Amino acid sequence: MIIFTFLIIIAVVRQRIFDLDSKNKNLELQQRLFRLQMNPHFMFNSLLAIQNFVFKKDVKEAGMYIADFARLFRLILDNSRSEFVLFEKEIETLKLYLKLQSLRYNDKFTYKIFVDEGIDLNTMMIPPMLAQPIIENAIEHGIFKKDGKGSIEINYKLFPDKIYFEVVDDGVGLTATKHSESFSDHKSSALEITRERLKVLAKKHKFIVKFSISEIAENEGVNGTRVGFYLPFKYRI
Amino acid sequence: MLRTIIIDDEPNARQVIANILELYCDNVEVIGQAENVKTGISIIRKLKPDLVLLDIQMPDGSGFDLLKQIDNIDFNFIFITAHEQYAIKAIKLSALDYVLKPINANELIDAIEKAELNPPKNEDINTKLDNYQTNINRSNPDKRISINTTDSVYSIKIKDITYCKSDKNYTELFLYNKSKLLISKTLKEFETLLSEYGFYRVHQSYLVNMKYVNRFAKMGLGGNVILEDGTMIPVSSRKREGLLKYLEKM
Repeated sequence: MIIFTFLIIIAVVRQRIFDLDSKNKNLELQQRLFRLQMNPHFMFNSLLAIQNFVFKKDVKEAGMYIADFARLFRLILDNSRSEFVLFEKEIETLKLYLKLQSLRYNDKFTYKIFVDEGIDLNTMMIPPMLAQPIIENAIEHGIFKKDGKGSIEINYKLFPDKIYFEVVDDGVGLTATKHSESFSDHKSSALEITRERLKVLAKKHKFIVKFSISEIAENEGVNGTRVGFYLPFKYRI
Repeated sequence: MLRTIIIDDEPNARQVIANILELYCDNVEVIGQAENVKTGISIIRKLKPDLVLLDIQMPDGSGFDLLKQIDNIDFNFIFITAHEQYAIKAIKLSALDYVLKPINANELIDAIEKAELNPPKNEDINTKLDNYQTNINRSNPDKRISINTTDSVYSIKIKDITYCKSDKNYTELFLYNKSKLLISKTLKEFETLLSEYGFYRVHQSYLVNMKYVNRFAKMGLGGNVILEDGTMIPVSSRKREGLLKYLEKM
C-alpha cells in the first residue's frame, strides 16, 4: 500500500514536471515567435520608408503608413499570445505585412492571396503567423535578387480536417539563395522556428505537416520557389 | 564642397539621405547614387568623390567588399545600416563611422563634420579596414581595436591590453609588453567598447582586463586587484561587491 501510494505520488510529480516543461516550452516558443515577427530589418526599413514620405512632405501617405505600421504591430502583439486566431485576422496581418514590404521595395513585387471558397473567414481559426517567415524568404531572397519585378502567390486550400498552405514565388530560386552570403541567421532561424512550431502543433492536433520546399524549374532555368505545408484549423466557439 | 556618393540598395534610404543632406548640409553636394556593389565601384572610379555613404549589406555583397576592390581609398566613408549588430560591433572596434536607419539627421551631420575634419589617409584607412576584417570574422577570437592618436592609427589586439587608466578626457592604455599609449577618448568610451571582452571597471579611474588579474587583496576601503606582473590597482568600495562576484564566476 505504501509503495503503491509512493508510486502514485511519483507519477503525479512527473506529470507536473512534464506540464511545467511543456508550458515553459510554449512560453519560449511564443517569445521567439514574437521576436521573429518583429524582424528588426523589416521594422527599421519600414520606418525608413515612412521617413522618406516625411522628407518628401507627403503628409497623407506618411500618416497612412504610420497607422498601418501600428496596426501590424498591434496584430502581431495580439497574435503571438494565441494558439489559434480567426482566419480573417491572419489574412489582415499578412496583407499589412505585404503592403509594408511592397512599400519598402518600391513595388518590386505584386501579390495575390487565394483562400479556398469553403473557408469561412469569420468562424474558422488557424495558428497565427506561420505564413509570414515563408513569405519573408520569398521576398527578401527569391524576389529581391531577381532583376525586374516579381510576383508572389499565396494559397490556402481546404481539406476535410486540415488546410494546405502554399507560397509560390517567381524569384531566383533556392540554389541561388543558399549560395548567397546574406542568407543570414535571422532567415535560417525563421524557417527553423516555423518548422519547430509545426512539429509541436502536429503532435498536439494529430496531423501530418508534410513540409515541402522545392525549386520551380522550367525551360532549363529556375523560375522560382514553392513552399507548402499542412496546418490544423478549428471553429470559433 | 564635399562631393558625395550614396550607395544603398534601399531607394528609400538614398532618398532620405539626399533630402537630409540638402536640408542641413550646405557644404555637401550629392554627385551620384548607386544601388549595389558593382555600380558603386564604377561610379566611385568615374566620379572620384570626397565622401561615400555606404550600405553594409547589399544583394551582391557588402560595403566592405566594395572598399576591398578599390586600390587607393582617397575618400572618407560612413557606413549605413539598419540592424547588422555584429557588423556594428566590428565597426566600433575598428573606429570606423556609421549611421543607423531610419536616419537621425544629427548623427549624420556629426559623422560628416568628423569626416570633413579628417582628410582621408590611405594608410590609416587600410589599418582600420584590416581590423574590421579581423573583427567581423566570427571564428577569430583575437579581436583588434583601432587606436587613433594624433599622428596615426594603431591596431592593437584587445587581449594585449592589461588595463586602462583615465586621465581627465584622456585614457592611458597599458599593454602587455609594458608600453603605454595616451588616447584622447574617455575611459567610459573604452568601457563601452571593451566590457564584453572581459574588461571590468573596478574604479572610477581604472578599467582592467580581468584575464590578467592574479588576486584580490583586502586593503583599504575597497581593496586592490593585483595583476600578474604585480601592478596594484585600487578598487572602489562601490565596485567591490560586483567585482568579487565576477571573480567567483571566473
